[in-house]
Formats: sequence, C-alpha cells, structure tokens
Amino acid sequence: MIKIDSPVDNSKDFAAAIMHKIETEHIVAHSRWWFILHDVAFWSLWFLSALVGAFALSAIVFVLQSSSWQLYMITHDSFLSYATNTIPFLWLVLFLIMVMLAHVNLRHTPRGYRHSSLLLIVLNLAVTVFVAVIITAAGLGKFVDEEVGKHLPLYVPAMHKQELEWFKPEEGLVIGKVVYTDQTQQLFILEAPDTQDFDVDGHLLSNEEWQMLKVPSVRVRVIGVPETAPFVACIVLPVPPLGMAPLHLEYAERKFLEPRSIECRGVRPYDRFDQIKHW
Amino acid sequence: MDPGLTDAELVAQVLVHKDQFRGLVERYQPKLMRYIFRIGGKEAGEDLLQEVFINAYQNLSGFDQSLSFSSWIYRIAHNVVISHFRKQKVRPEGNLHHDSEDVLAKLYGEGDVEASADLKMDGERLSAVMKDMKPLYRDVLVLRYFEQLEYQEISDVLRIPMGSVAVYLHRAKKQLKDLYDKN
Repeated sequence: MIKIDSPVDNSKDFAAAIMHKIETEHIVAHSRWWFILHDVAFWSLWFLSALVGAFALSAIVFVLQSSSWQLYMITHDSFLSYATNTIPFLWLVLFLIMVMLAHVNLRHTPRGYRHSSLLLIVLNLAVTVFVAVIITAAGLGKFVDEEVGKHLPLYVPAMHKQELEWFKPEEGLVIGKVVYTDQTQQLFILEAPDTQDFDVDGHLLSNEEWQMLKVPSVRVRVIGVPETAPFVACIVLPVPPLGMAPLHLEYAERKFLEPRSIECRGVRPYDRFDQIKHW
Repeated sequence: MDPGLTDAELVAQVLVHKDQFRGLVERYQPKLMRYIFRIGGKEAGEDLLQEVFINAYQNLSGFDQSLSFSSWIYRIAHNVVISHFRKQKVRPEGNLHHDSEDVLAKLYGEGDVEASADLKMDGERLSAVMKDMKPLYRDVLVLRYFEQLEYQEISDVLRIPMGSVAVYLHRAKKQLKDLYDKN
C-alpha cells in the first residue's frame, strides 16, 4: 500500500502527494503498445477459439456424414447402441468448450461487454459455422479426424470405426477397396482393412453394381453370405463420400428378385436391409 | 489546470505532459473519495484512493478516448475496492446513510411510486438494508442514485450490457423493498 508522508487536507495536497509518490517511487505508465498487445491478444484468442471450434464442427459433420445412419440396423442391434458408438463426443465437447472460450474472449475485447451474451454467442456461432463450412468444403474435416486418430491413443477415426463395424465376414459384412474386377468370371477382389486381398463372388450382383465396382479405387461395403469361399456378395453398397445416400430405390426393388433372395435369405444383415426398405 | 478543460482534453494533455496528471487527481479526488467510502465503508480510506490514482496513472495510455473518462476511473476505483476486500476476505460494509435523503428523493423522482413509498426509511436503515443486498444490485443502485451516473456509464463501470443495467436496477429496487419489508 502506498503511504503519503504528510496529512492530506484537500485535493491539491492530495494531488501533490500523488505526484510526489509517482516521482520518488519512479512509477512508470504502461506504454500504448502494452494495451494494443493486450487487445490483440484477446482478439487473437477469440479467433483461435472460433477456428478450433470450426475444425471440431467440421470433424463432427464428417463423422456424422460418414456414419451412414440409414444402415444402422445392419451393423447394430439398436439405434441407441449405434448412436452411442457413433456420436463424436470428443469433438462435441471440444466444440462446446471452444464456443465458451470464444465467448469469454470476445467479451474481454475492448467493447465486448457492451453486447448481450445472446448476441455474442450468435455472432460466435455464425463465424464458427462459416469457417466450418469452408473447412468442410476443403475436406479438412476428414484430415483432422484422421490426424487426431494417429496421435490420440484411444480415439478411433470415423473411417476406421466404419471398417471395424463392417469388416465381419463371419457375420456377412465386408468392406474394402476394390483392386480387381472380372465381370465375366463374376469375381472381384477387395483390399480388406488388414491389407489382405479378399476374394468375392459377385454372381448375384446386377450390372449397376458391377459398374460401381469398376470405378477406380472405389471403396465398397458388401453384404454377403457368411462362411462361403469365396465370399458370396448379396448387395454392394458404396462407401461415403461416393454415395452419401446408399439406399437407392433400385436396391430395395432388385434385392427381392431371384435368385438373390434365395441364396441370401436368412443372412442377418440382408434381412435387416429388407427391414430398412419397409421402415 | 484550466478548469474549463474537458476530461478528454485533460487526458490528452496528460499523455503528453505527465505532470498534468495532477489536474485529473484534483478533479476526481472528492468524487472518488465519496464513492470509495460509499461502497467500502469506513474501512476504505485514502490508501485505496491513492491506489486508484496510481493505477489510473499507470494505465492511462490504455484509456479509450471515445469512452467517458469518468466511467473509466470509476471502474478502476470499483476494482480496487473489490480487490481490497477480496484480499481481506471480508464483505465491504459500505456507508450510505449520509446521503440517503437525496437518494430517496431521486427514487421518488423516477415515479416508482410503489417502491418509493416503501423506501421511506431513515438513512441508517437504508445503509443497513443495502448491506444485505446482492453486491451487483447494490453496485448499480450506488452508481445510479448516489453517483448519478448514466446507464451507459454504469455499463462501462461494471462492464455489463446497457440492457442489463436497466434490468439490474429494476431488480435492485425490488430487492431493496423486499429486504426492507423483512426488516
């Protein structure tokens, strides 16, 4: 606490004492730059929070887009188990934290306090969503999801999660990149997630499905008959982003044509696909 | 110091000639002393006021000249007092009874008939009731009715949106009335 040596009787004496104190204790005023840097710091922190929030939002969009919720009945017993497994909690939490941080930082900018919290939150969200749209359009949502998966031990990237859910040959599910097709022999080969070649018998497939398989380096999901060698394919579905809505009407119509239905009937994922059609 | 100078002109001079700071101290010493006494009570004295002016001197380059200097220095005073009592881990007592008559007159003047009729109390009692108020409500009441600041200035002192000042003032008057009824 600063002490003034002499009693203070009026404002002139008090002012003189203050000036004396400033002089004798060599009290220095902060430079203008110090305050400018302070303001710049809060604006920068706000922008950084909004940017990280936008990346998180972009990753959320990517994870949800690539999750093919329409097909959850094929891979999960219930919507609850699918949702629990799919909702990107890490990104959601990060997004919410960043929205709050951005709000706090914006409030600490020179006149941020003058505006209502609601207005600041809406402004923050608008900026975050705008940046997230750009990031998503640039394909960085997938990049972020995969990069975090490489460095964060317990985090499973969306594409890997999809592979875990869809590569279960013993249950009639296979996923992979098409590396070879021979429609005359009715055979195609997938590079499975474990990088091993996986032969698939495509004699039940339609011409449209073969056309899809012939797209270079296409990734597909196959519903087939378990414990067959080679694995007999019943239905081929594209992997997003090739097809964002994999349930084309043609699948629903065609799958009941003989002989596909006879060979594939009783296979759980195939029957589930039938339920989706009636859903 | 030329008494005809506005605060903004005086601040501009101080930024060039530091010794002109004396003029700002002379101008604001009585007002801020009263304010500190009002919100801090007898515990708060000249030591805190000195801290306010030293703080203002050190940070004057950061003063946004498009805002009111009065709000800016009131904010410093507010922060110094709050910080002082926080360090002491005690609640500021405040001392309002000396000028409560004026405040009551102002409350009447605002036409808040219901509140003002019930607030017809003596100064000491007003001071005692305000001690039990929520700190933010007490702050807006003091700044509005004792320091006679405008809504925008209160917004700048407390760093809350101007719309919130009106809301808090309304709630503060209601709480004051409720506390008075309880007593």
